[in-house]
This record gives sequence, C-alpha cells and structure tokens, in this order.
Amino acid sequence: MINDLINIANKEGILLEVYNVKSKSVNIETLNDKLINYNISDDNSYKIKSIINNKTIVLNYESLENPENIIDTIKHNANVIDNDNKNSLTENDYTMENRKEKNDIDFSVVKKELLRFNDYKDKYPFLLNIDSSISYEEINVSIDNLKHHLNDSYNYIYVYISLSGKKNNIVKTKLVNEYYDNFDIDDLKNKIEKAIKELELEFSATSVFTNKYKVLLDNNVVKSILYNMSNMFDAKSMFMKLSILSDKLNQKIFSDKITILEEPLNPKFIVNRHFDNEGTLMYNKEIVKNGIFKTAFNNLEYAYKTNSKPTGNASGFYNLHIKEGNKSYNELIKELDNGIIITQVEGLHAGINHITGDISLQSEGLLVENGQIKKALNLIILSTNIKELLNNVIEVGNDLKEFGYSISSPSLLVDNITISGSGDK
Amino acid sequence: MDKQYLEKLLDNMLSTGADFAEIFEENTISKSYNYIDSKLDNIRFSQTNGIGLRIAKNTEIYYASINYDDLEDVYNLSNDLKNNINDKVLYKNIKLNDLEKYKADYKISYDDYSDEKIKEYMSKLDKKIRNLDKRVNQVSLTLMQRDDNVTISNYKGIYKKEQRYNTRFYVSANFKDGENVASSSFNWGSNGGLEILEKNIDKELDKLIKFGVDKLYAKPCIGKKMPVILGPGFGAVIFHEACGHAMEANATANNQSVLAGKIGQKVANDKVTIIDDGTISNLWGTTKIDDEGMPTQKNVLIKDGVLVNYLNDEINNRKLNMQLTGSSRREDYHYAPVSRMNNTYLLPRDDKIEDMIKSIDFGLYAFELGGGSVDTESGDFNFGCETAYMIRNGKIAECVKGASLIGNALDILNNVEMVSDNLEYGVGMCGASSGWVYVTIGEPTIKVSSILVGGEEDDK
Repeated sequence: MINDLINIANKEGILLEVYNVKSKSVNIETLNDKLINYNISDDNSYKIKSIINNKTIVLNYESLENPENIIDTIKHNANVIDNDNKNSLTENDYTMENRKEKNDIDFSVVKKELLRFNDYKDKYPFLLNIDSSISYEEINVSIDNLKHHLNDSYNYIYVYISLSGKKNNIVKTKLVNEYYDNFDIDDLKNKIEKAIKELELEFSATSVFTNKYKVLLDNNVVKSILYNMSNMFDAKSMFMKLSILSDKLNQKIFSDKITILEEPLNPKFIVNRHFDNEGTLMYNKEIVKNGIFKTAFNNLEYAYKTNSKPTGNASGFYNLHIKEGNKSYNELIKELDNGIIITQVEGLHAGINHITGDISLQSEGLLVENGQIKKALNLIILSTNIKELLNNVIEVGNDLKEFGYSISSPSLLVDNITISGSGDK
Repeated sequence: MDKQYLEKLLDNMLSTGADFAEIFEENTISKSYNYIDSKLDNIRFSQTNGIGLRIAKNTEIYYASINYDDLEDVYNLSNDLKNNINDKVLYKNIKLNDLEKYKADYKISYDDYSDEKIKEYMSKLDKKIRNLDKRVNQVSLTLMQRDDNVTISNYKGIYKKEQRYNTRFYVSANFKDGENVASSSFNWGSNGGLEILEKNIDKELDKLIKFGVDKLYAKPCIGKKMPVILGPGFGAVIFHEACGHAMEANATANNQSVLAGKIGQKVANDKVTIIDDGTISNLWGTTKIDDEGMPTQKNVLIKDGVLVNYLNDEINNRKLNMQLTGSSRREDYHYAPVSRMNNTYLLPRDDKIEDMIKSIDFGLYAFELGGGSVDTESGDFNFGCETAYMIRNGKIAECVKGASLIGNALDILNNVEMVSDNLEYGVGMCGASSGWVYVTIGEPTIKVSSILVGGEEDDK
C-alpha cells in the first residue's frame, strides 16, 4: 500500500515519502490484590511527507486505503500555506542490524508478581494502596520513498507504581518509575522498599521558611526540569524567538560543570535509535559543552533555514542527558552539608514557563543538617529560573539514571536557590 | 462495521463468561492551522480510524485497541481479549437496538469556510495584534478543529452514534524590551463549529496586551501563605484539580481519593456549590452521550458545602452502587473510558470584587492561572499563575512572575471566603488514565483566605 501511494504521487509529479510506525503494547495495572486493567494495542500509523511546488506538506493517517484523497489533500494544502519550507526526501538507507533480542515476558507471571506487592501491607501496616502498572512496548519504524528504504526497531518495559500510606489521618503518596531492558523483579522490589521508607518519613514532614538554600536535586527532578525545558534547544523555537536561548549559540549559558549530550547510538542505553522521521541518520552529539551552547536540535526545514547540518531530531531527541560527574549521591549529601534535597516535583506542565525559563514547582524534599538527613519536607516550592539553576551548579553526581528512551539524568548539587515554604524563621 | 458483525463480535467477546462487553468505533479528522511569523506556517492534518474492545468480569477490565484494514484482525484481537476470562457464559445472542444518531451542534460547519478564508482571518488578527504595541515581537495563532465520529455498541443492546465537533482558537503574543521577555495568551473554544471565529475578541486583545506588557516588567513574587483572589473562568482550575478529580469514581471507588466515603459530609465552606454538567449547549466539554452511550446530565457534586455525588462509570460503579452520571470519557479508541469531568463550575454568589481587594492587606490577585495537577489520594494540589499581581493595603500593586499556588483540597474548599457573581468559563485539556479530554471549567471571582504561594523570600 505504501508503494502504491508513492507511485501514484510520482505520476502526479509529487515527491512523497512515508514514515510508518507499527507498535504493539501490553499494559497490566493492579490495585492491591486485584487486577484493574489489562490492555493490549496494535497500532499502525503513517506520516506522509510530500514536496510539491517547493512546498512541504505533512499529513498523518492511520490507513492508506484512499490514496487519491491523500493526493488531493496534499495538492490543496500546498496552494494555501505560505511556508517556504525548503526540504528534501531522504537519500539515506538503513537496515537494522544486530537487532536486540525481543524481550520475552510471561505476562501471567508478571501479573502474579504485581499482585504479590500487596504483601508489603503486612510488613508496613501504614500502607493504604499499591497501584502498580507495567507496560511492554515493541515498535518498528520504516521510511520509504521511490529510491530509499530505512527500518529500525526497539522495545522496552516501563513500570509505574504509586504507593500511598495513612497515619494519623494524613495520607501521603510516593511514586516509583522504572524503565527496563529486561524486567528485573528483584531490582524493582528494592526500589519499592526504598520508596516505602521515604513515604514513612513524609508523615512527619514540615515546611521551611522562604529563603535561598543550597539544594541537591535528585536525578528524577533534574530529568523532569530538563525534559520540560528541552525545547529551549530546538532550532525552530530559537528561530521563532520562543526560546530563552535564541541568539545564544556558541555562548556561555550554564556553569562550566554542565555538559549536555544527546547519544541515540550509545549502546549503554536501553533504546538506540538510528534515524529520525525524515530519514536523517542520528549521531551522538554535544548540545552544551562545559556551559557553552554548541548544538541546537533541528529538522531538515530548520537545518536549511539556519544553514546548519541536519541533526536528526525531527522526531525529538533520544538519550539526552547531563554528563555524569564523579561524586556519588551520598557524597553529594555530605557536600550539601546544610541544605535541602528536592526528591520530587509536581505540576510540571504549569510550573515551568518555556519562554522565560521561570520555574515554580511544588516539591517534596528532605532537610539536611551537618551532612545528615534530619527530616522530610513538604508543601515547599522550588522557585528559580533554568539559567540560574544550571549556572549555580556546584557538582554533578555519578548516578545517571534512565527515565525512558528520551531522557536520563544524574543528580545536581546547586547553590543559592529559592525555596518557598510556609514555615517560620 | 455493520450491525450484524458488531453482534457477532460482542457474542465472541462474551463467550468466555465476561459480564460486560462494549465496542467503541471511532473515525476522526483533525485539522490544525498554525499562523506564526506572519505566515500560515502549516496545516496539520490527521485522520484516525480505530476500534476499542472492552470486556469485564466483576471489576476487572480487559481492553484492546487496533486500527485495522482487515476485520479478521479485529476478530483475532477479540479472541486474545476473551482468553483472559474462563467462566460460565452469562450473555449470548446479543441483539442491538436500532441505531440512535446524534449530530454535532454547529452553526458553521468545517466545510463552510475555505482554508483561504481562515488564512485571511488569521492574517488580519496577526496584523491587528502587532499594531497594538511595538513590544510585541512574535504572534502565534492556532485554529484547531476536530470532527470526531464515535459509535458505541454494548452487551445491553445500546447502539448509538455521535458526531462531536470541537473547535478552539489560541492567540499567543511574545513581548520583548531589551533583555526582558514575556508572553501572554488567551484562547476560546466550543463544542461547535467555526462560528467561534465570529466572536468579538476586542476586550480579550486589550487584556492580552496589558498583561503581556505588565509581565515584561514583573517583579519576583513574594513566597508565603497569604490570601489569594482568583480571577473568573480558568481560575476554576483550582476546583477542577483540588476536588473535581477526587470526585471521579475511579478514585472514589478504589479508596484512592481524599473525598472517598464522605458523601453527605460537609467538605467545603457554605458558599461552595460545584456542578458538573455535560449538557450545556456548545460548551467545550459538552457531549450528548458519554463514551458508554449514557446521556450526559447535570450533576450537582457539592451543594452548599456538602458532598452529594461522585462522577461515575459503569465498572467503577459496581463498587459504589450509585446512579450512573453519564461521565464515562476517553481521549480516543486507544483508551478504556473512566469517569471524567465535562463542564465543571462553581455557582456564583453575590460578594463584590472591590470588597475582596479591600479586605486584603497583603496578598495575591491571580487574574489568570495556568494548568495544575493533584494527587487525589492525599488531596495535595498545585497550579501555576500566568498573570498575577500583589495586593498591598487593599489595592492592586505590582505584577509578579513565577507565582505558583500549592495546598490541599480539603483546606482550599473550606477556605473559600467570598464568591462574586461574574461566572465565566475557560476551556482546557484534562489528562488522566483515559487520556486527554476536553473540559470546561468555570467560576466567578473568588477569595480564598489562605494559600501557600511560591516565590522569593519575604517582603522587606
């Protein structure tokens, strides 16, 4: 069907390329000792890129059953839009080699393991609910035009567990997010035990008074902020003046300690990607090197518009991360000495302003005195700006953690950051 | 899929003992016009067509979704699904009712306006905004239109089809003065057609410019607990986040809500009456039927401070045993539906806004809020302020940036001190386990006696 569409377009003088994504997934969700949801999905989608009269038209379909309608829509849209989007079809070919072994999961076993988490309630009677979900995704992508063909595939497992507990009529919750190549139940159990202990601490949580503090941001917090601010590195946002880094390429923007890499090909990560949805081959690159902004993410359109090399980021970024430092998490706590560890942030879609870089996030944390964790903190707000945050970095941890195929992060020790709270001085 | 095939498929889904079976078919055409940099940059077009199959046994749900070219693939998927259940057959030989059709409620259909006419509208608006203030350095306009056609058939014989139009327009302007940058935006939308382009937006444009310019020179917000006035319309995100989600059956039925088990109890100040109504003509979150085929309805959730109802869906209601509320919703066929809000609003009262401002020595006036989120189990919520001013000595003072509000649902419900009469609605997207759905949130201006505000250290 893909080739039929390409051939019909060709006869009409339209250059056409199809990016096809086939995905299959299984998701199991349990609540305490009950199965809540068992979901399976089988999806097939087509992104059709066509070039007609020097204009590029992109359409999304889930079926190619009516190629004539698709061609009509392309011709019509080309007559209306103004964008002089200089573009081209891919001239690359790629065939996935050394295909990673497909994960072999017995979901009936996994389901039993999830239901068994309910036993934690016997060990920790304050636990109220254990809501567990595991997803397996298997994705095949391909690109075809008249002359070229590329294909790639990847798979991964994602686990999300929400734990809640109740003491003295106060309810607290804690999340466990893990991302696996191969499902490791023992590792997951360790993470759950750790989260339960942190949850227990939270019952005695208090706030702090509003002030500037030395702050240790957990790797999951750094990940959330970087992910939600990532479009500051996007060439289109910069070109459209929608990024705080517009006109800042090759300038010092962050602390010397900050090197940000995108490594889609690095085999140490769970998923490797080899080309984007325009067929540009991906490569490992430095986005920020020792605080200097080196590379903006682009697609073909903005590579032409900004006279840059295509970076292979038309479909986003893969394995983006701040380069690890040398210090362990415990060493960072010692170096924090007196300050606050931010362990979790909420409300990311509202608390981060992409245009100004302002950050105002509801947080949970731990108070550290003389290098020792003293107590849990809640109802505190991390109030800063992305530039201030990454300029004030003192140390980068060595605890790089993967949070999905797009982003990973180590923890960061940062000086002089405002934490708002309702506590008294 | 014809009726006979649907009946055959339902029979197959029920053949291993399921006590619920439903087929959700969906065909959608979405178009989104983006006008930026004084050009029609692109028209995003997408067409989806897929199917969701759901069976259940007691409260266990098994769901499968597929987009297909071959009906055999769908049948095979139903086999994968039913193999999860092995029990006595409860339902067979399903006979569907005659198809009930519901047409979208629009005055101007998507076919009535040419793309050229839409482009002309955007071009004029772009010029108008740029001429309003020389500090405007970028304008982005987006028109989103979605023609969604869903057909629901189930084991009880329900067989209904609804066409749903959702149209939304976003206006966003960026401002620059030296190193200072700011953005300001507004949007409006409807469960209707392109008649939304005929709305007079002069007042909104004036606000867009005023707020954008004020934000250019905004001072850091002061962070501490203080009284807060929340502007009308989208300010109601506080009720959506702080208690709306906690009244959804997937939270209440599983004891995962701070409001679980509290029906009949006083949970809010007397001035608080909260209603969710999926029937209000042309509101953004309106549908005629929910995604289980139930007619939508007006549901009073909190009346004069007393919790009186939850929002229900069929499977979660097996635990609650209440009346269904027509609230089962999903983003699209990829998701099993759960109880969700449609158009949720706080009933107006008669307090005066001037009196609210005068009553505050030091506090915050949040004219526009951004999105927020809530942990329904603990009730802890947060949301960001798009446009906010400090209140000093009973008067509106400097514009402030980076303000966010955090608190607990039960506290905030009790701390609503004053409620005015200017009910307005805002449109939003609400994300939860059944994906992103269109919701309206509405409120008049209100005063909350104390909220923790995020910001810089205390005022000197």
